[in-house]
Amino acid sequence: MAFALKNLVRASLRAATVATALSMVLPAQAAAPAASFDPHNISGFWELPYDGRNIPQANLQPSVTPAVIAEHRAKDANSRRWCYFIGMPMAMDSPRPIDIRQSAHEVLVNFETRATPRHIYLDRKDNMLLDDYDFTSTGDSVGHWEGNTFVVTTVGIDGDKGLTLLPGGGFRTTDSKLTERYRLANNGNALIVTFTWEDPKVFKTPHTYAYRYTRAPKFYEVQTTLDCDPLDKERAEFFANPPSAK
Amino acid sequence: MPAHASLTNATIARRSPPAVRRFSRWLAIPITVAAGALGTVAPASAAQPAGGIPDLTGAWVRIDATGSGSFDNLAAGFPQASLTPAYAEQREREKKAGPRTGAWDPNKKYQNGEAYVVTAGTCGFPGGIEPNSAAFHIVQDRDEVVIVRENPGLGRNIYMDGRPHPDLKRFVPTATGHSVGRYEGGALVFETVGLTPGGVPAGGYKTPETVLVERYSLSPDGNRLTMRYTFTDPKIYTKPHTFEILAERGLPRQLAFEWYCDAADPKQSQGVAPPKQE
Amino acid sequence: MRPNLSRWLASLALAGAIAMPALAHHSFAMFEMDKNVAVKGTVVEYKWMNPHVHVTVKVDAAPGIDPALVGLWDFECGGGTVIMGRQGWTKSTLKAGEPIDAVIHPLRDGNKGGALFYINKPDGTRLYTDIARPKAE
Repeated sequence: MAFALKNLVRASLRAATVATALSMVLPAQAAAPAASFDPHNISGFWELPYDGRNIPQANLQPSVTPAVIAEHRAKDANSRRWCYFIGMPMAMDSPRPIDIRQSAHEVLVNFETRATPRHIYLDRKDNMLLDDYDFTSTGDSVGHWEGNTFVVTTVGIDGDKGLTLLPGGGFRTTDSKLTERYRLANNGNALIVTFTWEDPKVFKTPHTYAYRYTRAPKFYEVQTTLDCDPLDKERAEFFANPPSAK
Repeated sequence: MPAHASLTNATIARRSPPAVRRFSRWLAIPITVAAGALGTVAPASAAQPAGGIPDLTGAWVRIDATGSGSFDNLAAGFPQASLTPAYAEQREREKKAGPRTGAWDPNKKYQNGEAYVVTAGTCGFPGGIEPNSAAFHIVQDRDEVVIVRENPGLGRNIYMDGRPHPDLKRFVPTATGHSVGRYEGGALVFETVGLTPGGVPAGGYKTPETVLVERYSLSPDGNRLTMRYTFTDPKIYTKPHTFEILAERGLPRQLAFEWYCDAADPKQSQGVAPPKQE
Repeated sequence: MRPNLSRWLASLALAGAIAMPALAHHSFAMFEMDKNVAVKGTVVEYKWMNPHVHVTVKVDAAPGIDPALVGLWDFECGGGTVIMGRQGWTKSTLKAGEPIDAVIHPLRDGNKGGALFYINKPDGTRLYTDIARPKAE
């Protein structure tokens, strides 16, 4: 009986393995009508429409005073002025489609803005931070699947790099932990991502908000990168003073 | 028909009836599943390779296999480009031009504390086609292969979904151009047009109309990548300009580095500056 | 309309002079890249920065030290942090006050600057600043 059960489990696992392998390679055109999209394949170009944000107010610690927020606002303004890499999470809030590509080892998220790519590793469970590692604007990310949800944890985002203010209030620091949950919706044509920030120095409770991306048209072509010239004098003047009504 | 046209997915897509295309994609399934069962990691691609799909995903670092002595000489062993007379003349004129603003001037006496080079460093994304000394990462998906560098430079988007190149009259040239590819004989083969004008290793040049074909193939153990570049442009070259670059696979699960640049720091735009002596 | 030859040549002119080596942020023509000079001294400052890491090194007069090498040097590395990181360097590889055993490509004009090729570590191994390796000897 136990032997038969083991064989059944083995057979089921084999079937699941083959099904998973098949789901990775089956083109959309060849899929059976019942499964019109693969819930485990989030590859594609994804646009964030104007109605794609659901952002509640963050529950901030009393220590996060308006003066502290103002410091971060000034720092972010300086980052824009000097074209520093945008970093997480604002790179995900892009005016251009983001390019998500899923391989067996990692999921890459690439941007058409002044942001460095994200590498979400699938072949290790834990975040890897070394003593001498230079923290980055995007942090170290690992991902795994929980049912039809792709769960990504990120740490090691350098609090001094990129835009630090977060949607809904508060800011990220080098100690912040971000958990993202990606799930396909609308027959594979929408991608809902919830972002949850944990940082006891900033938030009383974890701060969660969500974006709903829509799939870019088939054969979308990557456009010339929205680059940024920090040495452009006219642009520098634009940032130098508050706008006047005159 | 130019020779390069035979390499594009678009050409194949145009030539093959839909049923053949569907069948060829289905054919990839047993190959990929079998590769997975053998312990190799199969990328999620639905291409139709006769020789299989090479597992290129991961970090790669270019190597100097023969010993060039310095990074200035890394391309010294490449076959020199064979240029048309019109272009050779143009290159001679460029050589006679004086140093650019901010560049090292061999006729100037530099004082201690003075920078020999002051660039207009914008921390921008010019980049280029060939990998430089920084690591680069390849990710293979069914519809697209993406290559990104760890230092500034546009990512490369290689469309694998059968689309053609756009009409160059309506395409804004970029440092990485427009690339379409497929798997052929166990290698990734892709074609690029729409490149911004600029230099090419070993005395070559490129314009938006130059056609670049790249072939990425793996060593049997999967740890060495040979990238063969072939530039074709009858206005520039009397024959295709070809060279190879080698790279080795980075450690598995290695962290990706980030080249963080601070344009507000004037030192970032300075080259060597011998200190004032005590 | 396809560009004619004159338009094409004009585009070359607009594109600027011959491209600098693709591996550096700027040309390293001021250095004798084919010449290697050994310099032993003390680290004064290690600037782990982009686009090029710099090391300030002091060479003191001592028996066996070439008097021409004595003084304060700026070593510019071929790569920035990501390139050197792949060769094994970190932000704490060098510290002020520590000895350094380096091989550089010197400035052509004889001033005290060089492109740092590699350092010899106490364990006998080398740390290169770039992917380039010495020519076969």
